[in-house]
Amino acid sequence: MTETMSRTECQGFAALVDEYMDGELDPRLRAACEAHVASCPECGQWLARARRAQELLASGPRVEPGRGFRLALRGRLEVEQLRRRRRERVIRSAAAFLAPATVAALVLVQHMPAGRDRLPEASRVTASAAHGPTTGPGTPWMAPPQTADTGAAMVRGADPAPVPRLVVPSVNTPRSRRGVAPHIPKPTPAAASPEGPTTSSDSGDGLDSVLEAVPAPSVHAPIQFAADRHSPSYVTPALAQTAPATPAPPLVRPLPAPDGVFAAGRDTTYEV
Amino acid sequence: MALEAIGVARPDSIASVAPTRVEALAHRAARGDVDAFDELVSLHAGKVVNLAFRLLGDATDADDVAQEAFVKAYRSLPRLRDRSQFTAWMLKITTNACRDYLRRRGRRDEVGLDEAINHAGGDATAHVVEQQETQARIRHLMNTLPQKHQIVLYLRDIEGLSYDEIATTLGCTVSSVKNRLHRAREAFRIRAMPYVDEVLPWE
Repeated sequence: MTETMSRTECQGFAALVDEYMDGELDPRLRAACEAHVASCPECGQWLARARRAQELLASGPRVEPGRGFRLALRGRLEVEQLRRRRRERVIRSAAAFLAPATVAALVLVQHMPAGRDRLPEASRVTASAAHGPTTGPGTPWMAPPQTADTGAAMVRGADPAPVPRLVVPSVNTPRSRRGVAPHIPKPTPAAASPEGPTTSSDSGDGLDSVLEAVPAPSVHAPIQFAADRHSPSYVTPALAQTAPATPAPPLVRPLPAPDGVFAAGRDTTYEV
Repeated sequence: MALEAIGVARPDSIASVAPTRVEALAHRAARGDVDAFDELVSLHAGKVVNLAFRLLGDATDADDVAQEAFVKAYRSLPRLRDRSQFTAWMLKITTNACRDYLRRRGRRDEVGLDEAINHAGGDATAHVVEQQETQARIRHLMNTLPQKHQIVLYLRDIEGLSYDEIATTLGCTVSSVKNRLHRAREAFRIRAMPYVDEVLPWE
């Protein structure tokens, strides 16, 4: 019984020995520990060894920072500060550039029309990134690089939110033929899209140059960027200077799709 | 502040620095203020260099590693969320820097134990040799302990801080300090007892 009590006390003492050695125990527990050490030779011996280990740890010289420690460190810190400032400047300027670009890209994605004409995600992202911030209501990510014979490029503001129909031209059709325009029924509100994926591109900034460079057949599409934009016979100023009084045969014509159907706009589909 | 005054005095240093002051300086330093960080250096250089010296055993190495630790701290300070814990964080960075340094030296630390003991022979007296051997062993033992044990042992048994002061430094409760210290000492004693009996024979 006494032995059991002693073991319990020894365990209790072992749990408190560090606080006892450090003088952090309250007087009551301290007195209990002292009494136990006095009555238990094993714990007394163990305490003495523990104190020696602690002394061993605490022994040894202390050192001071070497001469010039702070001076050298100060130099390194100032170099580090310069680096940090340079990094911050780069980040700030990158943010100033990227923030509007990101916003524009998000706006484009938001305004993308739904439907089967959507491009796959990857190509849409690529296209919108390549075109940069475009503010038009159309679908600029669907427009291929503007070419002189892109009939759709001549349409401007025909429909605030057109949902173009993609018509793939025949692969066997030579490109030179696309500029030839035989008799074509006169389409109304918007131009056809002979270049397949090309649809209404009413938002490109380079549209004016395209319009000036390409004579637009009046039979093809109404050109709607001048005062008389609803007139089907309206032509660009450039065309007006060069074109004869009689309407010139259109150079651009929408080509029939393999199924014999071509689309001019959302609501315009003609049987050829 | 004069170089001599850089926290090399025994124990009082960490406790004498008001935590709020350290925190305020840490906030300024986190924004890149070198003067504020310089002040933090002046408050902590003694502890950092001595901790490094305890772990490396060479004053020159300790200086180098302490500088490295301070530069790392300056760089990482913006990422320290609780700036009031700068002191504890700084000591952790120091122990990490010492560990990296020892690793870079290709674990010469373990060889260094024997080297240091043999090298201690030199022209020193028997007493000095004995002391150097002991220090080399203790250093070796400290290096085998987990980082948090090293720090708490250093703060209590080498810097002599009270439990309250350690709790403030480490940002934990006093009971947590007691637990950590108890475990750290147990781990140290298990390793140190053979040396204790050998180096400090019973009178």
